[in-house]
Amino acid sequence: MTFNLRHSFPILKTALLSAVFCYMGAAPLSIYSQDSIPADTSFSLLPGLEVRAEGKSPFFKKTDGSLEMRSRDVGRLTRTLGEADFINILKSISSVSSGSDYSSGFSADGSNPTQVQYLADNVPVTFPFRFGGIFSAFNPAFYSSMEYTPVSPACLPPRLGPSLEFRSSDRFSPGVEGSLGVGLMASSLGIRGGVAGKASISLGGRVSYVDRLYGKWLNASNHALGFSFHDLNAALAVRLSSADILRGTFFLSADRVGYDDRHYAIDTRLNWKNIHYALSLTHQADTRLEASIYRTLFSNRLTLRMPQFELLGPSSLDSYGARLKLEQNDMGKLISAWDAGMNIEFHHADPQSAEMWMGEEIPGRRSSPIGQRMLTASLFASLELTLRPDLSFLRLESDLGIYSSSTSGNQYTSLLFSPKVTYRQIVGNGELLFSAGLSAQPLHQVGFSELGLASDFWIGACRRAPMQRAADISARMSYPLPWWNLRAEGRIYWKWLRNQTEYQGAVMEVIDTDYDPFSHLSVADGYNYGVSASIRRTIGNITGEAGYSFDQGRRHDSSASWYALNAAGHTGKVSLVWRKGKHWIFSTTFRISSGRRYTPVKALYAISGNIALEYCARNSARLPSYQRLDLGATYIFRTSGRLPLTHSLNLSILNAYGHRNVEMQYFILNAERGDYTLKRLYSLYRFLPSLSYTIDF
Amino acid sequence: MKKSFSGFILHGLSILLPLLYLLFIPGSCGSDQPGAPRTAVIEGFFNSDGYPTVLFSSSISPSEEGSLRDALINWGRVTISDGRREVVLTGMADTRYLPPFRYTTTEMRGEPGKTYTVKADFRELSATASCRMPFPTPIDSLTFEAADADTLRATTLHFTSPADTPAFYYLSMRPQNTNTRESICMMGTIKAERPGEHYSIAVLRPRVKIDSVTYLSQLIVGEKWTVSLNRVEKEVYEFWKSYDNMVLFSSSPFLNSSESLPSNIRGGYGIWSPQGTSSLDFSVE
Repeated sequence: MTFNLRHSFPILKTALLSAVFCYMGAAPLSIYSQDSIPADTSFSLLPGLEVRAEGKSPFFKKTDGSLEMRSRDVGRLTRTLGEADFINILKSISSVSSGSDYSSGFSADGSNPTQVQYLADNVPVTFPFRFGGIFSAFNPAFYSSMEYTPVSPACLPPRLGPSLEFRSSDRFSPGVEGSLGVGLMASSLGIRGGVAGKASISLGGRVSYVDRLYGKWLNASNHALGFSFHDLNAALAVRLSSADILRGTFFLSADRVGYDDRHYAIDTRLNWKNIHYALSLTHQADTRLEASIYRTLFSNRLTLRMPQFELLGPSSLDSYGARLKLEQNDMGKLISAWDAGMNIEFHHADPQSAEMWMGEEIPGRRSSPIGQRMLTASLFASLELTLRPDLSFLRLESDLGIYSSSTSGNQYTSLLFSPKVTYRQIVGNGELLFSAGLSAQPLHQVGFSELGLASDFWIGACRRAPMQRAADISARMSYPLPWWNLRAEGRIYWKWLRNQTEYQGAVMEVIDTDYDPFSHLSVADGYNYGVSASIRRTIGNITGEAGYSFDQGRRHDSSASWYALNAAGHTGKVSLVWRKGKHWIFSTTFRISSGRRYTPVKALYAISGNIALEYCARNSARLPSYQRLDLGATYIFRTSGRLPLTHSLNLSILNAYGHRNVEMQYFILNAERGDYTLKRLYSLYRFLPSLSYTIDF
Repeated sequence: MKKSFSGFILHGLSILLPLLYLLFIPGSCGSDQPGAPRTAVIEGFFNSDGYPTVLFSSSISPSEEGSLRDALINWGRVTISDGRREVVLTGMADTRYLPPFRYTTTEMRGEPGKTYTVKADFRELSATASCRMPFPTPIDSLTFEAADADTLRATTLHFTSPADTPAFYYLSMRPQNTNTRESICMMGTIKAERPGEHYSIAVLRPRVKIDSVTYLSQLIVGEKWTVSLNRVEKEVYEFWKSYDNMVLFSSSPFLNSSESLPSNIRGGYGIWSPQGTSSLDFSVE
């Protein structure tokens, strides 16, 4: 049960809530006015009852530093090619960065994007990205909220980076509600209905028509790009008793990308899928119990086609899991919350292998798939001690378990142990938050691309790529400013890392009969560090954030040291949302940052009529700086009748002043003249408008 | 409150301003194409029962545009030694090559089993390499199958691996009756691991002049070619395999890699490739 404290008529709402609580015979109740809440805080005062102070910012920041977003807000901000996306909106905050327009996922604290944990209704999703990460596979018409936690909590499967949890909602009361969206790239539908207060059925889906509408723009004289995707979500919840709900969920996301390079007469195809299904039982009493079992599968097939041959490179990660979690919140004493439980996951990975065809299979040109089996079993627990009345708290959490893998008959076993401590201290009107902890991650993702494409394959920790580990420490300070409800925040962090893997092999290696993906891994240790400062406004008709961050990272192995690819360098961001009256919402995001790291060329030379390149140290240079201004405007109006509808018309423009952001650069050669030219591949995001229309009912 | 607040602001600015300065200092976010001193480059072939050809050039520092003809070295001293005898190669202009200049001699003929050392010097540039010339493996046959179009043929070369495996090969070919150089076939490397076994490899058209001509991998009916099955040492095989990978994927937005080519040249880049060569003239049927 959630009440939202809006800013309009605060006194009336406060009085109304007080009356309701008195009528309910509730325990002594404190209701904070908007200005007296120590931070933009969510705190619970009664079992099962959450009172939430909410500004008009699309981000709702909790005391532990996590952020929550709702699909209703996300859909009314700047869209990417007409698609509302939680993760793209998340990228507008200063502590989150992405390598480029085409990079999958995001980085926080210099983490590798594959160290982020994605969950949809509590089930891990392995690679939830559309082509090049332009947006995610989580349909806001189906998922009602997203929570971003900067450090993945102990109760989730182990990851080194943050976690993103997407949640759909149920509707048990009779009737139907939902959302229908039509954009220039895709259309989406989300619908929820209740059956006699006993069951809730939710369905969501999205289908693209990119090729038909944008195909002309994506074709050039020497290349053609094709792209399509669809996703399907379903949830059925049955109320077994007043306290017990049984819930089944299904998730399917499928993408197809084709890139035909006429220049080189080589066609690249990428087809990838995420599928999961899960069953969970929730018992809601003083102590909440949640038990779930699930299967989540990611598969990808890379195909390289030439007129005479075809090379197939499949890979997959198939996971089965079970989780039991007990938790109790709002205890109102020294121990304010606790949780405990267990996670068990079994993975089967098929790292990359290849088959090459030339009419019939070419003898000697097939590498054998190396199947890998992994088992993770862990117990977890957390305890939160609250020191009232200043809302300072100390949170202790950890998991303890074991990971074991079998790779081509070689066994590998490692301990999982990730203790974390978080301490929040209120100082006057400001707050200090310290956190420190250890993390582990058994899964690695490696591959040929620097952008994190689906063709990068997953492997489990083994002798040649041991368990990833991290130790991190951070401090955050925030302080309210005396003007315009602004709040200043500063943060500093340091993270030590072990066993960070990168793939050093070439595509041609894959077709060797004795190809072994593990023999091409480089395993490195290193560190990330960074600082950030921001000013935020979450109250009023104009909300937003202006921030600066600096992230740096180094990696080293026994022979060399180099810069980490994902540490963003300098980043400046300004994002604003202006709610003008009842009908208009304007949004804008400006970001300027250091260019993506790349490995520069040291020398050119001629070999066999072509140009060969000698490279400098890995990741030792940056592409030209990245700039982008995105604009969005949403007009909202309501119509009444038998079915009251809320209509939203969104116009968004990406990279409004058309800055040419470099994605990659390479040399081409005119072999007849011996001339070479440096060619730059620019992002397609240049003054890219989109229009979308959404009906909520 | 005001006093502590102004202190807070001043403190914050003292941290922020230096950081903002770092953001905007020239070049801090800009592209970085560090140059390197000129380095010797050798591309040398020495076929069994043939004469050596060595391209001796220099590397150049990258810029927005330029010409590899600037790398040409036409006054270098190039020698080849078989361990007992050393000969000096003669330089001559040859537009079939890039840069259009080669060094060669008819005073030394390739003998399988011998180790040959090439040495190239020009002013401050100096490079050398040694490599054994393996015995050639005969080509068993070539087969042709109808391909995507009536006039195109999928061509396959067949051979039997020798007794001393592993054996490493790359394919090269040259159109007959034309004044062009021999070039490595696309995806033309193969490793034979077991002795006495039948191996097949697709004969795909070499990929050159990549920016001006649409590439066609299959051969056209009626074309006349000379194909060579070159048996080489492992390091030479690794070089051509990496070269193949570079040519195929270096400009792919999906599969790019930033790995330098391996080399068996000391003091420079490139490859020295004494090779046991079996050649076959054929007409595409």
